[in-house]
Amino acid sequence: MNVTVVLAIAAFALSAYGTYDLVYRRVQARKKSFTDADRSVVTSAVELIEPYRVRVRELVEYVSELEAKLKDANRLIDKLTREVQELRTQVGAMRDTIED
Amino acid sequence: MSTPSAIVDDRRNPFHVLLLVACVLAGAGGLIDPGRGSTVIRQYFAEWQLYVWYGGVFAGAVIALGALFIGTVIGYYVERIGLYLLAGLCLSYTAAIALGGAQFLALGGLTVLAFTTACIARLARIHSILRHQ
Repeated sequence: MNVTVVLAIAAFALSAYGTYDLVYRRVQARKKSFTDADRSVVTSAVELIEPYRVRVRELVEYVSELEAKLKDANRLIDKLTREVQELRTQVGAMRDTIED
Repeated sequence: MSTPSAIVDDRRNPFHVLLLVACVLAGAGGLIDPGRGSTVIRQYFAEWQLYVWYGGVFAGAVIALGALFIGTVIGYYVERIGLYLLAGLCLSYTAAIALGGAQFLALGGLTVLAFTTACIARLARIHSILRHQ
């Protein structure tokens, strides 16, 4: 049997090993599915996180309210600025009248 | 921080895909008529062994090519199966040319040797990726 044939056989053997490794890992991965103990750990973790989740949601709502108030305040400032501008114009006109 | 090799690894580049397509075609051609295939390989294999050899090249290339389209880590395991076949069979082809002597440094010999080296390098890369999983 020459080197060429030996190498070809080695190729098939390695490929068969690769197939075995793939199947073995798939089987191992299936075995590692969740047990009841794992589920209970996850449930406890979710319960632990829940109050913080509620608190975060409240904070987000509070920030939204503040944002709405800030928008209102900005609108009011714009309106007042416009009114002051009008008053200034009126005062200027009255001063001109008095000077005349 | 570990390198996210699996994320940055670019598997479906045209060069990679077309090389494997070429192997699929070469394997299929040999399976259809092994007598008209490479004279080098015919010196070392019996006729039924030629079918196995070309079948191996065809199967290896199809498996490695198909694996490129599996998005998960399983794709690397499947690609490895195909590349083991391709690398080993191309190495046997290189050995056949080397045993033939004079033709080894000719274009055909060097090309197959380069492809074999590329397969081995790719296998090393896959091993490195799988070790970090």
